[in-house]
Amino acid sequence: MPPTRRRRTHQRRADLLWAAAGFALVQVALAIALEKRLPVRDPDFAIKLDRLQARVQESPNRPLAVVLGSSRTQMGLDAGWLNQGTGRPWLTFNLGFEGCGPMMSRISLRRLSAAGIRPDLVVIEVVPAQLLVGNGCPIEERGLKGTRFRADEVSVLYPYSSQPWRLVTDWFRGRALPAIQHRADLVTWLSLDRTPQGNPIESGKWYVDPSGWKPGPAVYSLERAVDATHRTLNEFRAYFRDGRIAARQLALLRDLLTDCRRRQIPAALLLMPESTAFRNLYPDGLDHDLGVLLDGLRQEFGLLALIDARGWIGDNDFFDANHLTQVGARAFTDRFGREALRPLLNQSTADSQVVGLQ
Amino acid sequence: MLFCTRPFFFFFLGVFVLYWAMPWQRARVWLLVAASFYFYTLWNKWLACVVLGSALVDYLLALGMEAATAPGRRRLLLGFSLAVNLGLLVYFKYADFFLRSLEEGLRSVGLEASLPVLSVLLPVGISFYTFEAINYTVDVYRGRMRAERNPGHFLLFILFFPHLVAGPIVRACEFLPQVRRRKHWNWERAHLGARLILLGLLKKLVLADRMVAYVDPVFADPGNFSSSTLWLAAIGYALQLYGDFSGYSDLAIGMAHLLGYRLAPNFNLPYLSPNMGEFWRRWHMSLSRWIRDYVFLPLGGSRAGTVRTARNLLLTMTLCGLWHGASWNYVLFGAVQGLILAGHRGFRWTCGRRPALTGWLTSPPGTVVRVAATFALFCYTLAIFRCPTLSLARVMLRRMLAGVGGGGLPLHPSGLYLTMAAVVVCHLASHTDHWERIFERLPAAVRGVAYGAALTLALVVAPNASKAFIYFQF
Repeated sequence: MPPTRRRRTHQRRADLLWAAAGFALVQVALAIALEKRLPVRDPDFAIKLDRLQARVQESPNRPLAVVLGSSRTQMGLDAGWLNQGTGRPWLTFNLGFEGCGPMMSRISLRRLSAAGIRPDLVVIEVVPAQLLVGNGCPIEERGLKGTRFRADEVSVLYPYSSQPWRLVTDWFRGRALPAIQHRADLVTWLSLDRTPQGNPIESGKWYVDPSGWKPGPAVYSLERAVDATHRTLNEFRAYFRDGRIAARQLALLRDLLTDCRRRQIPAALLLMPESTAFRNLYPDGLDHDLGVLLDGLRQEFGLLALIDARGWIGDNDFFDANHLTQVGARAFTDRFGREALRPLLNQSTADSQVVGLQ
Repeated sequence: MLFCTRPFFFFFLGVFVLYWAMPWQRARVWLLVAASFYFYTLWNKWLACVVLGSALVDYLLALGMEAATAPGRRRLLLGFSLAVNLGLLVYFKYADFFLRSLEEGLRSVGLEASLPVLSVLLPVGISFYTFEAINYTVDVYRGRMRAERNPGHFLLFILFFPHLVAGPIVRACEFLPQVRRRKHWNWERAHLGARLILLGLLKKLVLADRMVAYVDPVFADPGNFSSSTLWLAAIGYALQLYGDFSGYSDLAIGMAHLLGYRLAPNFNLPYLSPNMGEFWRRWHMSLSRWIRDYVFLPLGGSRAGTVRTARNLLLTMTLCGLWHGASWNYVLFGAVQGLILAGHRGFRWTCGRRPALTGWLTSPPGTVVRVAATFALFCYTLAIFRCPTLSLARVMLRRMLAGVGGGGLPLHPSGLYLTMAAVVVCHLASHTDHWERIFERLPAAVRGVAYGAALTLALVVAPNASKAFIYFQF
């Protein structure tokens, strides 16, 4: 082979090897960015944290109440409404996420602490179905993606997971090939899916209001509501079939409350509103067992309250038996602020005895 | 199985590793034949048998033509081959269209007709491999090449999976000699193939697929959008079509290179064309060449006077439009392109008598104007090609020129403007090899990171669900 041709061949071979190395290098850089940058790794949480930090900066002297919970909380609590006007001393923030349960709530507390935010009150939503094990896998874990967490957060969740290797594998896949696993997050971060109304963080699928509320549909057809209700009830029926509270889920909840106690953050438990059709899914005895369990936790951990709001809202204000409409959210928020939050302020600041609300 | 999907990646990786691990050329050929047949069966098992069957018919007929000494017999065998190939193409692609059109035509003159609905499944790639088969049998008939004796070689020519479903339309006289040659691993060729694959992915995933969100809603209902939005959507579609089809071609050619085969280029920066004649010589070049050699030139080409030339252009381009699909939109699009080409010839003749005008048109500013005008004209005619119906196309064409108000683009236009600017820059950079030489002088590590970043970009911006290549439907 002539020398120039040989040189070119070597150069091309080197190019290909460097291209492979370059691709690997870019993935490593992205993986490091993902470990360090929350907005790329978990944009849902980052958006809410951003909003929360802004609210705390605006009102640094107001006692902060953070409500941790699932999509029921996310769509059901209009925290901004609670923060308006005089006579509303709390700065309330909605830190609910779709599918969130005690596992994600523990991570949320850690992240708040890392961001320098220490709430004066944490209200923790308890979703009864999340304490059960139907379909072989706890409901929270089904939606929990390892890619959202840092390595140390995965190590916190590992002992609680019924499929710990799935969590680790998810995380590893997200770091090994971030260009594929975090594609949607990177696209949003790069604002590649902006609408004429602006960034979807401000107006589209990622939108949450300044106090963390993600409103449910304002207008929806009866047909859509019936279909959504049907799907929801079918999904949850499997979890209620067994009806037994799982030891692992209970341990999770206890460890979460232990975490609050260790951080010296007063806590309360909340059961969000449910429609009649949803409550009819409960097998016999579960209601009683749940009540005994939660009241026991309230006493053991010195919780400020156990707020059972399951029957607070009429069936017409749910759009899928499980999530409140905007009208329903306003009604719940009003009552929550009046009957639950305001008395808790007096309790927590006066360090008085625990009062349960049933 | 689309080229930009994970299953295809593993399929190609498996074929690639096995191919180069085998030292025997014959085994490699049959491996590719088997892989290509398997690839096609993933679309539809029965239609794969149709492709295989028609390929075997052509193989036998070509051997028969070569063995036959009587011209009449040779002509008969060629006629039979054309009948089989075109018959299958007409049946699968156009039968329902002709029946529906006939029914509408009869109804329009007051006659009641209820013709059968065939509901035929279109074999993927039929428009491409049929033309390849015709090219082969015609070339054997004309004595331009010998009939292929090895059935594996011929089957590979038809079924070779990189070009099977959407071209480039390969010439037998260019491909078959390559099959016979023993392949050796070549780093330069591998480098070229890898670069083309990367370029294809960028064009398909970063350019074409992201234009869909801008384009589809506008073409579905053009009456609701303003003139400027319609123009932006037309430009977006022009970018989508180019990115999709030339991206596919790059992927196909790149994969072929990785397997040691050279396929002819299919695009040559068509949007830098200064006139529509040049445009169609740079767009889908393999089809343009085929149409020229087997339709335009047999009709007389441009040798038979102005009127005949215009007729030949009109007929050729109309057939070319019809090739794209069974719809009056495509037929009309082709006819319009034919008229434009005929008109351009007249314009060229006029300019020939005006040296000052010719001088200005060929100057740099004049060339810029011509390139812009050609692109604008192509975008304008895309309304006929893309709109779901002729009536919507009429609405869009009218509104594009009427300066009317209406809705804006469904996504923020900044993404489209950025894409347009990037395409212009890349086209201008590719026009000369100046940037290529600068890039080659960079350190290998820097080039490697650039390639890595480009591939990452393609993977990141790829839409969640892989979109089929547009030309797969043709």
